[in-house]
Amino acid sequence: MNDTRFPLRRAAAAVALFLGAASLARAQDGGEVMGKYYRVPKPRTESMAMAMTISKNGSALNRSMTTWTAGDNAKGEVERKVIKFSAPGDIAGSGFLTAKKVDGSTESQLWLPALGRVRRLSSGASDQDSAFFGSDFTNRDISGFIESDFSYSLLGEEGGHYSVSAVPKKPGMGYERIVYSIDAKTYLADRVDYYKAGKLLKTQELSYVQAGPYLVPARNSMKSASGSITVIDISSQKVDQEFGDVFNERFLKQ
Amino acid sequence: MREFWGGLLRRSWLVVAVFAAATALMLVGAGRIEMDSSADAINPEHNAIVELNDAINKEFNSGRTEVFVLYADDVFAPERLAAIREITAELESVAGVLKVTSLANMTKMVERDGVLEASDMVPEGEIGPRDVADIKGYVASNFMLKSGLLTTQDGAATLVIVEFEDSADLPSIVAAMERPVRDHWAGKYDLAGIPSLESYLLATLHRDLPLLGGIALAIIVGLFLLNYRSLLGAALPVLQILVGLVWGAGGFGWLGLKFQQLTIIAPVAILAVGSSFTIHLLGRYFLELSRGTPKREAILRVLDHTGIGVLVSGAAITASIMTFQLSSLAMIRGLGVFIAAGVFSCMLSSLFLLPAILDLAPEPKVRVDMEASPILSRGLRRLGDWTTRYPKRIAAVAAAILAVSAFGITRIVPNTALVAFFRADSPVILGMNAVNRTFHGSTTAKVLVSGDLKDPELLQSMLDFQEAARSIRGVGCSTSIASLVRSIHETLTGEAALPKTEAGVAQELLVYQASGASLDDITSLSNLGYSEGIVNFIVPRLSTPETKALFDRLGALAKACFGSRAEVKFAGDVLSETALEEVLIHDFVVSLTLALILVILIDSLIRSVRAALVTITVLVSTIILQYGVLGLTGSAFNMATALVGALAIGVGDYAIHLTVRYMEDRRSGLSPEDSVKLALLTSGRSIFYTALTIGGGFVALTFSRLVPVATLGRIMVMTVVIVGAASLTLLPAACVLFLRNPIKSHLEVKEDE
Repeated sequence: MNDTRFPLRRAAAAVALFLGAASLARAQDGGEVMGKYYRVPKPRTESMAMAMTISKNGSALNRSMTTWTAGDNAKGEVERKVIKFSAPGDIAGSGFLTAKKVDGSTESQLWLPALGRVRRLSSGASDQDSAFFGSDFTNRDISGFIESDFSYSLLGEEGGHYSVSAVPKKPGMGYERIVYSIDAKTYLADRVDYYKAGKLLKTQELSYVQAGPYLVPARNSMKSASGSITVIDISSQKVDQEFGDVFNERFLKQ
Repeated sequence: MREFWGGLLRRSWLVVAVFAAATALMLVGAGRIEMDSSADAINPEHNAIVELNDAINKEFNSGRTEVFVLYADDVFAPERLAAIREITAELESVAGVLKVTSLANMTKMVERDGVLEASDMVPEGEIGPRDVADIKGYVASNFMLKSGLLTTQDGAATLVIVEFEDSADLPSIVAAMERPVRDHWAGKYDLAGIPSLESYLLATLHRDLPLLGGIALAIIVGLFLLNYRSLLGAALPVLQILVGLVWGAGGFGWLGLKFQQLTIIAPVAILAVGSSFTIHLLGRYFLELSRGTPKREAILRVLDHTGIGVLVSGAAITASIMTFQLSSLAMIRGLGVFIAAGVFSCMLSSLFLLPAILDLAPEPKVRVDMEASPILSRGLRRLGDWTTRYPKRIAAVAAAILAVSAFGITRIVPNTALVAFFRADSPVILGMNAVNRTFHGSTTAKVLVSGDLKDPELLQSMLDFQEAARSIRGVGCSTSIASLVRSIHETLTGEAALPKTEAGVAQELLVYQASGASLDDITSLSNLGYSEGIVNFIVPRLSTPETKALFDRLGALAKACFGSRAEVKFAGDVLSETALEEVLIHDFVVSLTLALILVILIDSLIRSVRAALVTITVLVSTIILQYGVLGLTGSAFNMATALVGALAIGVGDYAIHLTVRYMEDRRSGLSPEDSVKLALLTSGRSIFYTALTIGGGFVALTFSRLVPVATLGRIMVMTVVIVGAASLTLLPAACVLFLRNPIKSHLEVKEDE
């Protein structure tokens, strides 16, 4: 009896070991894929023209703006961004300046020509989950996530894409789960699904264009399960250029 | 025909087997019936008001509403605010809920230490004294909230507004919505809205159906026993009714139709209407037996003489009820299919199954002499003498009564509001009244404003309109994009006004968005192009005439405030109920006219045009009387009472049976007067017991706790009495005056041959 049982036990142990090792390998693979995603070279500075269209129930809101960004939280730098609205006419000239520190807190200022004054907007981690100018993107979706805030698992690989699930390690990350579809060649995401309360909340789709040595987004869209969609078309990308001192109130008011 | 019936009687077992198999098949169909208790079910299709309401709901992500009023000594106490936050979060996760508005998730936009901040009113985490002071201060000073939009001035009550999808199952969603409130609110609360009204309606129907069905069945069986004094005489009509119910339900199920609120009337209607066929057939059967006719010959004579009446009446009732298919309300169409299938099945069963069973069953031992019932027969004889002696006087009295009734019709007040279904002392009405007292209403009137919503002048017109509307009795607080912009402007500048330029409006809305407000905060009040916006008024649920008057006043105010600056349209759940009123009146007129034409056509084809016209005289008179009484007694015209006209045709088959018998007696050579007397003596007894039976069935409905169903019961009892009385007085008089020489139909010629 022992002779027959022992090999079974050994086989079961081997299977368990194999499954355990396999699952460990998958988790590492997910982490590795996302590590490469986060380490895709990014421009030191970037400026671009953006046309944002928010559509819901057949009506649309179009806004045109130019943005300048510099800094990278991942490198311990403060990320700074200036947005200057150029259309529609009633908001033309309005400007938005934000500085995101490594700890996630932000300082924001908004220039409104009609009021003739710069307004400081609230800061704090919770604002990251607020809508980006009433769009389907949150500020966090725009500014990006921090690699170490999530644990990753590889869901599969198909058609030259890795599917990776990212689950927040702590609460307050805005989502319950994020599923990335990562291009196996470029390690850039071309689709991201955001889940909350067990339901798909919204889907982001990205396409890229070559700008200097970098691949930068040319179109970034976010479709919410509630039916609204925001499409940001990006053009005139300029990378690694010196802007001069644009991240200040004086430039905001110009 | 006699050969046909004889052939059938030789195959009685086969007939019984066919009916048993068909009934089994229909039972399977009945098991497929699904409930549909959604709000959609009470909406007329292809209606401009309903479609506008749907379009507004879709555009502004809103829906039908259920409101909770939570009471406490101080709703601003930290534990109360925390409870409101919990309730709001849980309500938001209920399937089918589109939006929840409460003190907890209302966006609070403040400038603190020079920093602009927009966030939910009640913060996450522990609520401290500073939070409470902030919230109280904000509610007391904010332009949108200070007039009592979400809390009473004394802080003793707060409102939670839940909007949900039209397709949501109402009893399920109201149960799911009430759970978090029950779990987290340690204190009194009231709720009001379509879901709670519908749930109470369905719960009442579920309680009423077995009770009313039981009462109706008991009355009917009791009357059968009294009439025939035989168990077979009582069991056979019940069997016919059961066949009718099962086939009606089976047909309904196999067609994939859904059981909706009004479908509940169908079983009682089948019970009452379907039983009359068997009464007439059995009445004639017992009469033949009492004359010593052998059983099989008695059955054949029944089919020969009374069968035609059953056929005419069954076809006429089925056709008239099928006119419900012209309705734009799915619920009425479904009801029509159920009743028509049930009544038609009762007719088939009476003509085929009943003779087969009578043929197979032993001859009844106790025989009632149908012609020798002393009191009733004496009364009928006197009635026969009287009607043949004074036909013109009877006709004149009938004309006078009809004239008064016609006047009553002009006084009918329609009321299709859902609240009119309930008694004033029912819990849902008491709850709704409490909500109305605290917050001036339990639902919203929606005003769609089309124009340039960034134009400060148009926004000011909106504010003026909102302010002026508060002077209308019953109109509560309101929200709009204008109130929002006004509120933002005050926060940003301290100025109690709107921005002065379009750019100012646009840029302040940009600040609002940049400071953390969600897209929904704005898109629930305006579209993204700022070309269409909505003003939401809290209003009470009223009767449809009162609702129309309220919207008329709002319309006049809108015209005065907006002028040519904007186009304005009105919508809302309560306005959709007024649309139901118009649809119902249209359906009623079309369907009743067609039903009467069909009765004339069917009766003309099977018998004669003149016979059909005499029959229809009784039916039309009955319908005029019904609605005259409705108007004179101040009862409302609604979904239930709209049906009594068509049901009158169902119970009005006495006229057919009496004229069939009259014509039969005329054919045998009797004078018109003697034919009337004999018809009254023989068919009169059946008419008397049919009236008692059908009236008994409808008496059950008067015990319903739902106002329209009880009203329908009362009107139908009255109808049965009127039709019975008219059939025994006006109809004989009409026969003597207008049908002295009825033209024979082909069928009757063949019978004579």
